[in-house]
Amino acid sequence: MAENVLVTRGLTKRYGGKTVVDSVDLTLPKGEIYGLVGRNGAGKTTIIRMAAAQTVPSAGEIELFGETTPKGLQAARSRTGAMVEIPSFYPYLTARENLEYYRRQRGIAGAHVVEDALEQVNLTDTGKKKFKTFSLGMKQRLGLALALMDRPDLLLLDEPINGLDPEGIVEFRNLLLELNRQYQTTILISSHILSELQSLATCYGFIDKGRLLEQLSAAELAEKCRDCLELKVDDAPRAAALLERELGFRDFEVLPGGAIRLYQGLEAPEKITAALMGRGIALYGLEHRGANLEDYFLNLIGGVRHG
Amino acid sequence: MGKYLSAELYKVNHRFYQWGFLLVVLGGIAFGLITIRCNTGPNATAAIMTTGLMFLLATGLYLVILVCDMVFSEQYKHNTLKNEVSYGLPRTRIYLGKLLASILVSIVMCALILAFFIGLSCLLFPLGEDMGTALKSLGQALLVAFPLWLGGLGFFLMLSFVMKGSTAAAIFYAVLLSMGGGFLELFGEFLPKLEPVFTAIQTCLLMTPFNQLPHRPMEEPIPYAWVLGMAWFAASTAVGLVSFQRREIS
Repeated sequence: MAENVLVTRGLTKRYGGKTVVDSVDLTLPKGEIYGLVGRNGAGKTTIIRMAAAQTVPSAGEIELFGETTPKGLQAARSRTGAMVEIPSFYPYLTARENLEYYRRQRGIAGAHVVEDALEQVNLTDTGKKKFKTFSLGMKQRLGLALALMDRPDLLLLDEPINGLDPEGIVEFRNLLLELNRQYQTTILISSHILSELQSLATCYGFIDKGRLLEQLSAAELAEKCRDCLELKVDDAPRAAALLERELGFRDFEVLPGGAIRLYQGLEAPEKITAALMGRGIALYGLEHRGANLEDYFLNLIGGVRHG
Repeated sequence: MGKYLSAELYKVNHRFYQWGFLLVVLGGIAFGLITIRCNTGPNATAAIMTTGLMFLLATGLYLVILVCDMVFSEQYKHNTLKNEVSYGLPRTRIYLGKLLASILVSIVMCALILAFFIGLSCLLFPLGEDMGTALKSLGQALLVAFPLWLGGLGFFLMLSFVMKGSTAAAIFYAVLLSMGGGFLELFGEFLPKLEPVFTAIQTCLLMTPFNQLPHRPMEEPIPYAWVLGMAWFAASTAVGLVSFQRREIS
């Protein structure tokens, strides 16, 4: 059985009468890169903040490295690195001074740790420049350096590539993949840039309105995002029934707005056209396409899936 | 806790704020003493030194704001507390670490300022035989001031943790310190029936022992100052610790 690094059970957060995270049961196995996918305000940041002890859950439980007690969780958090929202540091200190301050505070042995962390994120040449004069990209890099200091077993990253230039994004991606490959570092990452997430994550959690809708592995997602034919018809339920009854298709999904995504019969679309038109169903469009993470997510929060 | 303290002192020592503050205070003392020397000549008695000292010690209660600010460093404004709680540092250690660091910085600052004051005073106003009396007064005044400073420090740090804005916390603290007694006297005049209550509250204010010093023998308010100062320190720390445990860190 796989060892889980982070498990949440019924994790809930309410602000006043508003529930922003609703009974989330999330499981993050060791060595995985878990992509948390959701719209703005879906609850991604709040989940990460609860895992990082920045906010106290209203209900539910967090298990980190097998620990659930307050004291055990505190000890477990010393094995994590976190970067939540925009990185924040003392504006009047340099990058080195900021990291040195946190190194002393956390009791990490060896002053070289600071240099190593700065080197990992390409910030060694900032000299006496104060944090307050840093660009957003530099701030992101320093935030990542802090998270990587003392080589954590778990990284909690909330929108970590905001503000990075294209070169920085590639470096950042390679760094995370390297950490994951070399040290088995487990990573929980949220990002708006789903294509970037798709190039990193080995499993996904889809969240909407505070509820975790689905968790699946990258392999399962690839299977679900395979090539399909997308049909636009005037009566989707009748067309779906016809595809099932007359052509024997079972693997399809009905989307909102009279669309059907068909995963069978891709090699002979003319048969489908003939069958639909023969029964008086108007066909407005037929397109061959392959779904991606974005399509899958949008479908999940808005569509109805069959087959 | 030692590691936490070491980090806090590292941070404070890497700011110009601390040294700038010290220079301004020392400059103010030098200006004050030289002005007195120019107006009175070198034959001033120990009374001048004692008066100056009283002023300095009472001012210390306000300087608490700056010392706490050096250590707390507007953590809510800069959102830096998240870098501490996310890595498993217990909130109790964070609170007590900043409290201890503030006390240490205060003691060092106080020692430097007092050494400068005494040194310059001795240079400008040679006291001769009065030196023993002046030093005794200094010791007694410090015994009154120290617990009150601690009380003020504990209270202002609690305000810094509880209130989101450091400016609001500083204004609240300064108003309470400077005008708290006056307000209570005013309330007593408007509500004569409740005057004993307001008078009792007034005896619990941190400035009250300082106000009594010029009118009583120096050693008299020492026990009162210790009870009062430690009560403010303990109560503020307890309230601050409890409220910080569930504080949202953004």
